[in-house]
Amino acid sequence: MIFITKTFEFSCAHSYDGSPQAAEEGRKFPGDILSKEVHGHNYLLEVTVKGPVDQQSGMVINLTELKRIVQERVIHVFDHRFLNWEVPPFNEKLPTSENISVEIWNLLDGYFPRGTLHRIRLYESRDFYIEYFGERD
Amino acid sequence: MLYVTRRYSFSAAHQLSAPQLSREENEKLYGKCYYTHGHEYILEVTWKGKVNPGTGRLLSSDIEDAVQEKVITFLGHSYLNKKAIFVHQPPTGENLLKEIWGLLSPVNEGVQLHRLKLSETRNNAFEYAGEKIN
Repeated sequence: MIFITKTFEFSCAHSYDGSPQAAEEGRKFPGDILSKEVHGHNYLLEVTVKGPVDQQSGMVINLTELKRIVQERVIHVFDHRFLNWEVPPFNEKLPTSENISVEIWNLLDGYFPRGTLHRIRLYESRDFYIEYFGERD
Repeated sequence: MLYVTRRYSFSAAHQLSAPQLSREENEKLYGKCYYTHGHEYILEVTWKGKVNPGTGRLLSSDIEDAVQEKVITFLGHSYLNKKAIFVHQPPTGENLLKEIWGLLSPVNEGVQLHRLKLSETRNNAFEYAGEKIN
């Protein structure tokens, strides 16, 4: 079993003060004063896929293919977006790094032609990151 | 389960010296580390648990405050050898890491301390996940 990791970057704005929908319904999200203001992060995403090495190609998964899938399913959806307004389910779910990690897992799990998704690691900043290994962990 | 890691830093001075050994023996064992010097330690604290659906977060501000107070404020800008925890043992990275584990593992409001990584310099790092039987 080999573990292969590719790193991506995307930038988003978010706030913990709720979505237009939540505001309409009178729901308020908790959070400190700073994070209620709209702000942004340069997220660093590490996607780790595990699997046996294919004898002919010598690869677990073709990195170009891995890149294409992650870009199509995640980066194009998240990059340069205001999560609370533009990226469901964050119109009704708090766009914390914890929730974003689980969402990215769900967007990718089962979509690789070879290998299995092993880990999502999401850096919100150099000093704070989340790791998620799926529900079975 | 979700794992959340936060990275902290603190500066502290120490001198490696085993209480049972003579000055000569300590100098021989620890070399240049026998002389008082300091490090900008980098500490990575990993917690394991389930997200609080109300806040969307794993860590409450109480936990964040506890790390700050119990570890960073306690150890930051201190001379480790003068701390009570290092009266009977040398303040090596290994011992420091185990002491930090002891300070943080009782903190468990809905989360569990999963792993600690302490970097003494860019080139030396220590990791500890407790004495769990795996």
